[in-house]
Order: sequence, then structure tokens, then C-alpha cells
Amino acid sequence: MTSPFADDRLVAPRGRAVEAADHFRLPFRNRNWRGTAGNWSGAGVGSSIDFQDHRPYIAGDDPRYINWQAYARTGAYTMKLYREEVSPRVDLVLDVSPSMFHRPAKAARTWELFHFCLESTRRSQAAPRAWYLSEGECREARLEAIEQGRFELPEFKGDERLSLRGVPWRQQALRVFISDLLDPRCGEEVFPCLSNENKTSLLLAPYCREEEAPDWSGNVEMLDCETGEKRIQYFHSDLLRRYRNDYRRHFEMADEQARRHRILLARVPAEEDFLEALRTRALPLGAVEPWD
Amino acid sequence: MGLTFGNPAGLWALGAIPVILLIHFLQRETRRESVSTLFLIERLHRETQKGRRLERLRHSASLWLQILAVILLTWLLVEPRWLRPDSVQRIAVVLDDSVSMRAFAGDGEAGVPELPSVLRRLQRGAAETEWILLESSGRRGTLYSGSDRRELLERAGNWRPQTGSHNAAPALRRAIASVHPGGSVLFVTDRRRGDAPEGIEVLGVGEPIANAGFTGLRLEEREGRLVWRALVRNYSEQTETRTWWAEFDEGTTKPEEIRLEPRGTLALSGVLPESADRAALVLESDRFGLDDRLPLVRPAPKTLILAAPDADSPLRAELTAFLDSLEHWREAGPQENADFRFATFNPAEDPAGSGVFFALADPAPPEHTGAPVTAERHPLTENLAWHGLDAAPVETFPLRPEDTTLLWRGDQPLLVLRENRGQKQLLVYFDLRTSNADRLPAFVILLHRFLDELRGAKIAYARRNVHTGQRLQLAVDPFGEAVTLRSETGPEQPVTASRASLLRAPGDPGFFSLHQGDNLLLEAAAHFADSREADFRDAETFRLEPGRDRQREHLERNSHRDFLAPLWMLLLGGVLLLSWRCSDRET
Repeated sequence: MTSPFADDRLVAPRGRAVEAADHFRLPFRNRNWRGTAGNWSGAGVGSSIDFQDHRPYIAGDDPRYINWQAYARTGAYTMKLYREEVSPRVDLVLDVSPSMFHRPAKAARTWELFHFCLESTRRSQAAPRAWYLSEGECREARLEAIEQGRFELPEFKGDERLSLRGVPWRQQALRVFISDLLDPRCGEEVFPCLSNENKTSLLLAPYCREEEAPDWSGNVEMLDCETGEKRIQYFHSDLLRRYRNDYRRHFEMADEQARRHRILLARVPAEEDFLEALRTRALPLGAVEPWD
Repeated sequence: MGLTFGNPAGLWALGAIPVILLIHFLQRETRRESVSTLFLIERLHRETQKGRRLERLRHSASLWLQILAVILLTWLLVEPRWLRPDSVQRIAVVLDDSVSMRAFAGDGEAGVPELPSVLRRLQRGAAETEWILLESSGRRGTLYSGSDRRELLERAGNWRPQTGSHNAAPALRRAIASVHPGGSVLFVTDRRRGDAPEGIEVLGVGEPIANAGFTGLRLEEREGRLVWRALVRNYSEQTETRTWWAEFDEGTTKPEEIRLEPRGTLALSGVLPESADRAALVLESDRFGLDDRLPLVRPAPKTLILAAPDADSPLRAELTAFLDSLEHWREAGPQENADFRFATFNPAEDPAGSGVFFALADPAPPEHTGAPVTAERHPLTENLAWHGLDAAPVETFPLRPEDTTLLWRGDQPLLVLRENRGQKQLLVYFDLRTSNADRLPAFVILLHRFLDELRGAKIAYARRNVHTGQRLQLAVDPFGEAVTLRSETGPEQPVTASRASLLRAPGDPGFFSLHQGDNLLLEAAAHFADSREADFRDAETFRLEPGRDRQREHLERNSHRDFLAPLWMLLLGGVLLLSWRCSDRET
């Protein structure tokens, strides 16, 4: 099956994502980072100006950090330790199953989230890696190509399986997953894999009103956007109400799973303005944070 | 309080319900949607698999409101009426007594199959119903009268039609009069729709059936042997094949197959064995069985004892040819009383006994004046031509008041019929010797008719073939014992001697006999020969109801209107408005 989103028109949301990145960024604060040198306080000892601790000198230590005032007072060499400054690692996974793009608004929101994460990462001088997740397999996205507007998306073959088991997460990286979670097995295949020891992961879930509160009535021939499966269903108000309840329950369970695995799950509606959606849906949860 | 409808045709409005359902389903034509949440729908479907079709209907408010509106509209259209508790109606059920009905009812069947449902419907016309069961011939009077419908149905089930083609109008008029005013008459018949009377309810129960059967019998003596000749007719429009055989007391002939062309007739014939006085021709049975059996007996008319003129009588020569043509008579013995006699008489005197009495003109009378011969209207002179009669009346004489003149020349009588102390006399007032009367067919036939009358009036044993239901007209001793009809197809039927003239042959083909006390008066075979009743090509099933005005009048007399009708009307309006709102919202 050809990817339904391989369309240049869908790249337009990048502008809105950049605009949103002026106001918000991924939640880098309140987290101990490890990694290459950068602008963010690391978990280890480094060469920043933030004092961290004192310890006795050990042979091999850099003599520049000997606390000479202390030596004058005590006669013993004492090292003055400063906090490390690192570049955060961000592992970004984008679910590219057709359901993410099967409505124009939802497709736009997906790309907005993706670009927002990349832009936020770039501005924070973090070290990003991105993967496209499709049919349970993930393929690394070349950031250079994305910068040039080429997405190199994988071919979708019709398998609706959603699983993060194959993602090569990096140690200590902020795990960000963009997916609509429209899979009955996401509880087993997504949340445990996204969970990162005791660190918080991020799950951004775009959704649109058509799937949350559809206006189906009477006979509807339904075509699954991923598998192509057909089904004719007669809808009346009661059945529609039960569908909405089921839909709500599905995401309540996802919320419950996310809490259990220390994952910040922010559902972002496609119909609202992107910036406003982030402000109302992601910011209160801590899924994004404002710039200082 | 019973419910009835003033306009049952309003029930057709219920036909709008399937139309509404159809429209609802057509409105909701399948729409195509690309979805990303099919797994949720499949989960729902598994939960609601049972009764899914009902769910579709239950929750469409506009659909249910429209159906409710149709029901309300139907209720208003059928004009519901509630029977008055004190309403009473009389219903006369007239059964067509023509034997053709046996093909459809009353011939071992449990009556007319449609009758119970029709009676149930009629009974709903009033709180109480008085039933009268009649038959169209009126022979057996009222078959049932009472208020028990089941009893009436039982009587109708046991009833058997027995009459040939007849006019049902008198019986129907009697039925209408007996239920007047405000009653109903139901005529159950197998006649054609076009023959059905108007103004009453008619239930046509006939249908075209392929019938074939015996339609006539002729017996004749040939070379001292009795030869029977029977006609078999196929009344249907297709070729029929039947098997026939003859049954005698000694045994049965070998069955033979015959092929009957459409509407064709086939003659069967044979000889009645010398030893057999009776036989039965049998045709393979079909739905109408009356004409499938033809019983016959060897005819044996009553023998007349005749006192013929002596050899030296002046009339002997003129009457010789007539006596030679006369059958079943014998000369009276010397001491024997004759049944009648041929004799001369003096017009001025009163002859004694039954017989034909001739006046002699001696000397010969003058030539007649040329006045025309005219005949009175009488069974003896019916259809006889007298213009060739050359006879001069004898001298004038006085006639008695009880005399019936049969023939006149001018104003003078030529033939006079007289009842003299119970004896029948035919007085001939012209001289047979000088007239040509003995060579005139009209005169000879009249003498035969007169002798047949005398033969019929004689109380004596006879054997003959008759039609089913034919009036027997048997001479019995009016002061004697009761007359009993014994037949092989029915119970013994005794009547008083005075009512013997009303006796009819049984309605079913078969042998029967008539007795007065110990005297056997008649042995006979009755066969069915009414071809109109055996022809079912035009029979049809139909139902005719009396005029709408009459039904309306009947209904209004026995019931009152539903006083909640205005409320239903308002409710209908409300439901329609609500339905419109709901459908608008659903859209």
C-alpha cells in the first residue's frame, strides 16, 4: 500500500511547528542528563560554572580545579567540583501507519508534532535521533533529509501492528513517541517499551473529531484505512453512543497504562490551533514546557 | 362490549407500514467511510450480535412515530364501533338445495368449509344473534332456529342437497321476510356469480370440476329381450377416461374403459338378462357421484282388465285396431270385474262403471252442419289436432254440471268426460261407425291417454324407472293403512295414505319400493338425469355482499361510534408533528 501521506502539501505544518517551538519546548528541565558536552546540566561532574561538591584531590585530577583557598586554610588539597553540562539525547519515534494521516487535519497535526519535537530538540541543542515506526518495524529517519524536505517514508504494506519492541532506544535519552494509539494491543506493545526505567517518557497522541465523535447514521460501509478490510454496519444513536463510550474507555485505559509506566501522555486534538492545543493539552501535563 | 368496524377497508392503510419501513431503509443508503477505528466497531458488533436487526428499528424514533401514526390513522379509517349490549340481529342462512352442491358440501363432507368463518364474521354484527337455517327448495322447512351457531353449523354439516334445478327466489324471499327488519340473509350456493340474487350476502362455493356421468336411460323390447341404452356424458372441456361396469344380482360384468371426448356423449347398451329384474350401471366415481350410478329395473306396468265389446257388437270392428295397439291389458273373465269397458250407451241414460261409452245414431244422423270442431283445454286434448274429424253429433241431450266437455262441434258436444260415483267415463256423442275417428290419430291418442289415467288410478303392483326426486303419483287406498317408502339409500319413510301423492323418489340413485300395509305397490329404480346440475364448467367461488347502505344501516342500529375518535385525531396530529421533528433532528 502506498503511503497516503507522501504529499508535499502535508509538509506545510512545519511553519506552525516552528512557531510553536518559539513558545514551548520538550520537557528537558527537571531531569538529570548524561551525554556529550552541551548546554544542559548533566548528572555527572563537569566544567560548568555550577558548583556541585568538594572532595579530596586524587592524583590525576585537573589542578585547575584545586580549591586553593581551602588548601590555605587546611593545608590539604581539595578539589572543587562543578556540574557537568551535556547535550540531552532525544529519541523520537513517529508512528507512520496510515491512521495517523487518514484525515487531513490529523495528518497536519502529526507533522506539526513531529516538526515541533525536532525543532525543539534543535533549539535545545539536544542530540536527536528519529525513527519511523511502521508495521512493528522501525527505520531511522535521516535528519538531514528531513531538513531538506525529504522524508523517505517506508512503504506501508497493510499490517496494522503497532509495536515499539524494535526501537533501538539510547541510554538516558528522552523517549518521545508520536502515535494515535489506535491499536487494540497498544497496552502490551507500546507502553512497556516506551517506559524508561525511572525516567519520564513522552507520548504525543494526535486525534481528530471524526474518530472521537463520528456522525455515522444508518448503513455505513466502513473501509479500514490500514488493512483495507470492509465492513457494513448499521448505526443508530444508541450504537453510536456506545462507540463513543468505547473510544473514551480505550484512551482512559491508555492513560492508566501511561501513568503506570511514567509516561506523559498528551492527546492533541487536530482541529484546534496547534499552539493553543499544546497550551491546553500538553502544557498542563508537563509534556511541553515554556522557555525560560 | 364487542368491537366492530364500520369500514374494514380502512385496514388497507396498514399497508403503509411496510412502505414506511422500506422508505426508512432506502433513506439510509449505504455510505462509504474510511475509518481508523474499525477494531472498536468490531468489538461492539460482537457484543450486539444477538437481535441486531431489532435494534435497528427500536431506536429510530421517527420510524416508530410514523408507524404509530399509521396505526392511529388506520384506527380512524376503519371507523371502530362498539356493539350495544342489547343489540339483537336475526340471520337466515339459506343453503342451495340443488344437488350440484354435493360436489362442494353436504356429501359426506363437513359442510361448507368457508361457512364457519363467514358466520363468525356475521355474528360480530350484534351482541346477540338468532340464527335460522333454511334450504332453497323449502322441502324440509326450517332446518334450525336458535341462537347456537355451532348447532347451526352441525345441522348444516349433516344436511344433504336433494333437489334438481329450481328457483331459489321464493325461499330467499321467505328468509328476508323472516329476518326483517334489520336482519341479514346469507345464501350459500354453487351457482354462477351472474345468477346470484341481489341485496343479500351470497357465498359462492363452487368451482369448475371435470365431471362425467350417466345422463339418460332408455329401455326397449327387441325380439323378446329387454335392451337398455344409457348415455354417458363428459361435461368438461378435456378428454376424460372412465371405467364402467354393470352390476346384477348374480354378479358383475368385467370393467371396461371408455374415452369421453370434451363435452361429448357416449351411448352404452346391453341386454338385461332374462333372470334379472334389475341391474345397476356403474361409472368410476368422481367428485360428483350422483350420476356415477344408474340403477334400472325391468318395467312392469299395471295390467288393465278390460271388458271389450262382444264379437257381435257394432263397435267391435272399429275398435279392433285400437285394441291391438293397446299394451298390458287382458280380457275380463266371466265373473271378473273389469277395470273399464268399451260399450254403447243411450245418451238419454246414465251408463255405469268406468269406460268409454259410444252413442249410436240409429237411424244415421244427418250430415253435420259444417261447424268447426273445437277442443277445450284439457290434459287429454293437449296438443291434439282435430280439424280432420268427420263426425256428426247425435241428438241433443242434457249435460250434467260435473261433466267436462272436451270436444265441440259448433255448440254441440262430441266428447264429454264424466265422473260418475267415482267412476271415470268418456262419453262419445257421435257414431263411431259413421265417422273417421278410429283412423284419426288425435282420437286414438286421447283414448290411450284416458286409459293411462285409468291405469294410473288403479291400485295395483307396478315396476318402473324414475328420476331421483321425482314425484311418484301412486294410486293408493285413501282409506287404507300408511304408505311406506323403503329405499336402499335412506331410512324407511312412512306417510299417511292421504299424503301418499306427495311422495317423491329418493334423492340418491338406487332401488326403492312402496308398500301400503302388506301390499307391495311399486318397485322402482331412481336414477339421476339432471344434466344442468351435473355441469360444473361455470361453477365459481365468490362472495357478494349486500349494498354498503344496508350494511351501514345494520351497523348503526347495533353499535355506537368510538367516542374517543376526536382524541385519536388529536393524537395523530401530535404524533405526526413529533415524527417530523424527530426525523428532522435525525437528518
